[in-house]
Amino acid sequence: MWCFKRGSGLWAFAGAVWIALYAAVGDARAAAGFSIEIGPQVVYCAAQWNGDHTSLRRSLEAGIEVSMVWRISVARVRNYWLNDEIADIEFSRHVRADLLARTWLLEDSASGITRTTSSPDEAMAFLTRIQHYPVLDRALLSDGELYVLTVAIERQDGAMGEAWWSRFWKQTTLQMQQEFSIP
Amino acid sequence: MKRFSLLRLLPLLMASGMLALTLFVWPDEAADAGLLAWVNIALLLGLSLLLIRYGIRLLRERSEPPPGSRLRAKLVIALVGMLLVPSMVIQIVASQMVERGMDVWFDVRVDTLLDRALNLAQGFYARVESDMKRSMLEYLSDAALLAAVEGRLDYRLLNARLNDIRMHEGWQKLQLFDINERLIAVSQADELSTFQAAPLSENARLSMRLGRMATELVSGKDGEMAIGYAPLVGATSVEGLLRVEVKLPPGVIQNARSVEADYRSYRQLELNRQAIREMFTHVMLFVTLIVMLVAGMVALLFARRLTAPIGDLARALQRVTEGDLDVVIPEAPQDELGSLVRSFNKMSDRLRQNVQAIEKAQQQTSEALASSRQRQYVLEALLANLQTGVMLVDGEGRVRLLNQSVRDILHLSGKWMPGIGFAGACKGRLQVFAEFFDELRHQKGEHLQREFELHFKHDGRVHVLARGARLKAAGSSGFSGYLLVIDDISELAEAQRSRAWAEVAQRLAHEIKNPLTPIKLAAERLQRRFRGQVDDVEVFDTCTQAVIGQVERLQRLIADFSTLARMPKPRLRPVQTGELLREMQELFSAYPQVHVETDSADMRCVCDPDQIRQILINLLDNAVAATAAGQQVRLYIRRGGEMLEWHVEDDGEGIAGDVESQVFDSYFSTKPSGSGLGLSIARRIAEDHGGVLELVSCRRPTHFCLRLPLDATNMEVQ
Repeated sequence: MWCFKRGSGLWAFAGAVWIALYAAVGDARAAAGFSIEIGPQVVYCAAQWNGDHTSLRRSLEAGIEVSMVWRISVARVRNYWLNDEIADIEFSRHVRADLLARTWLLEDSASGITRTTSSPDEAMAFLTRIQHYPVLDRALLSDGELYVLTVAIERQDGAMGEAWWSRFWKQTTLQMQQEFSIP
Repeated sequence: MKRFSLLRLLPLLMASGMLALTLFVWPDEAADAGLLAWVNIALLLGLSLLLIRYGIRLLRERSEPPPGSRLRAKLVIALVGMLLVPSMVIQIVASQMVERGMDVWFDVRVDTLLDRALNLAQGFYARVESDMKRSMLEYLSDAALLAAVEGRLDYRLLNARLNDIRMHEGWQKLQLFDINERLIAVSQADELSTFQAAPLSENARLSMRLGRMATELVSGKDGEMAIGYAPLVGATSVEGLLRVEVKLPPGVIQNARSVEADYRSYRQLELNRQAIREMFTHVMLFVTLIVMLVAGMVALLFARRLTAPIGDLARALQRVTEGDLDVVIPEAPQDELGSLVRSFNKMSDRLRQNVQAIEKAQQQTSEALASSRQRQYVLEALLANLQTGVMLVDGEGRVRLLNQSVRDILHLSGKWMPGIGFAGACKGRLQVFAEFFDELRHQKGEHLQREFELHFKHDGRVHVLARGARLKAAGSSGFSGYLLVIDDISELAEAQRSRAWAEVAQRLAHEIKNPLTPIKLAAERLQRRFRGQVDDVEVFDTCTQAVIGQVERLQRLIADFSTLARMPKPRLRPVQTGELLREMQELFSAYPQVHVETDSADMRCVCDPDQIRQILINLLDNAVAATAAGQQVRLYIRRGGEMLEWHVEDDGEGIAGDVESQVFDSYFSTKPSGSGLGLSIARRIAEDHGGVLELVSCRRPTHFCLRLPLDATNMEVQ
């Protein structure tokens, strides 16, 4: 540590930090079911969270509130520069259990629809899967351009709105990307 | 081979430990690692890289590290170690405590207890639901209710029926809907009923659609209620729906929900048990690493501040060691190190002053020494070039100084060196000098002078004048001793003797020469006149002839005396040696034993031919007189360097050893009729020519050599 007087020592330290953080981010890039459907008017996507389903089921059956925050973004690919973001959608799906009644309340923040189910499989499907989800109007995209659609899914166990620093010891975001272009 | 000390390897060892710790805490791929874990990994890797880099630099370092750096490194390592060890101990103890605590928290008995509590709560709800369903089962085909939903029953009768059922079952509220979800009748306890019913829930519709009873729990402002739905089944299909509300007891409900909340919290903690443990470990590790980092930086700053004066001091000492005494350490903190720095500055200043004083004294000494050496050189040169022998003897009788002339005059051997005892070294013919020195030491006077005649094998007699003086201690030298001055006065004595003899010869010639002629004439007249008158002619002739002969001998003697007294200066001119040799051959042709080598190289010689001829005749006369029949006399010349050598040898009896040294003395002769002046005159002639006449050997052969210089530039050529 007495090498701090040298500039190269700081560079080495920064390099080590970058390597570790890159490893941390790289761990979040887990494989997941993901597809893009380009309709005549709207671009849809379907995605599935491929995290630890056993843990998720155990949490639901133990009455723990579970939320899935979905972030879907579309950006135009640019070389030698940051991508140009066109659309950014964020919604969450929340499941709250009633252990006394053995029912689960399903809440969708995007539509505001709530319903109750007594099936944990249905609750899990509600949390981990989106199908034919409209992302953006096709008119916003240009023909021949290359775009990238990114879906980030963050699982949160417990009540929503916990302290921000809780993420420092729990990082459960899964992210998937796919490039596409308008035919 | 370079020796790797533990201090050099310590950074690499620490880096190895940190890398091992990095691998140990590396997050499991299957587990969801928090950001803090990766921050710790980054910190560990960063610290490891720094230590590896520093360790490699230490190992590759060949020159001596900067002053103070090792002390600084040791201080940093010590301070970090002092913090690291307690931190690690605290972390281990805390981890153990957390582990034990979690084992207590998540004990199986607690788990079972919560499960049972939840089962109790769930059982209460299940009991309420089952009771409701069993009660509602009796009214699924109630004729009055079916008639009501079909519109065939009077409202009052229906209302009375509902009130009876509600009161009989103990329900709080009872509602009757037809197939179109229209509210037909309501029975409610403790308040007036209203026909503005809320829309049916999904469960209610599902129950009516499927013809199956259903229950649900609803939380309202008055508490929680159990709601049951019972489809009214007619002859062929569902005709309506009976909705029942039962208010749950608040105390039980509150306890049940508490159990549920506790169970949920417990399960959430249990699910995050590993995560909590890892989080705790990472937090502790993070805190430890941050503490190490901060402690290291603080230790580095502290050590740098502490060792800076030491480094300055070491560098200054290095410069002083290299001879730079102008070094001054400017900064001096007000502590022990500052006192040390100030002491060093004082020491350096004093050292510089001392060195300057020493240099000044050295310069003065060098100048004095140079002056002394110069004087010594002058004295030595003077003594070396002095023809007079000089010898300095100290008070203890040891020779302190002697020059080359005294060696040459007295023929001193190589053992005569400064330090030798004078009296002890004077042996043999030099014994007289020991006596002279002893007399000088013991006499009262300051000076002493004596003349000595020494006999040397090759140089013959040497007449020396010895003078001695007592030296008293004076001045800074403090030397007291004796100064001996030896002069070779052989030539001077010889010259004085020659001069005395010349005067004698002149007087003798003057007094004797004049009467000799009348004596000789008278004797001859007597011989002529009275020879016929005497009786014994033979005796007469013998007597007169003896007188005449002796007179003639006296005349020759007088002539030699005159010659010796009035020796003319040689009149030099170039002469061919062959001419002189031929003259000698002709002159001594009557003597067959004389052999002259006329075939020798005809060389050119600058000399007075008359005087040289005189020498050669004298030498050849002596040789002829000394040889008997059958013995030879040889005359030849040789060139010896820059000298021309005339050699005369004979095979006669030679010269006796006891007279060898006297053959060149005046008036010394072994012949009865000799004047003893021949060789003396010959030697003088040789010396007048710048040469020398030597007796090379006394007998067999008796060998004389006349050496004359070939180059006569320094002679007056006429």
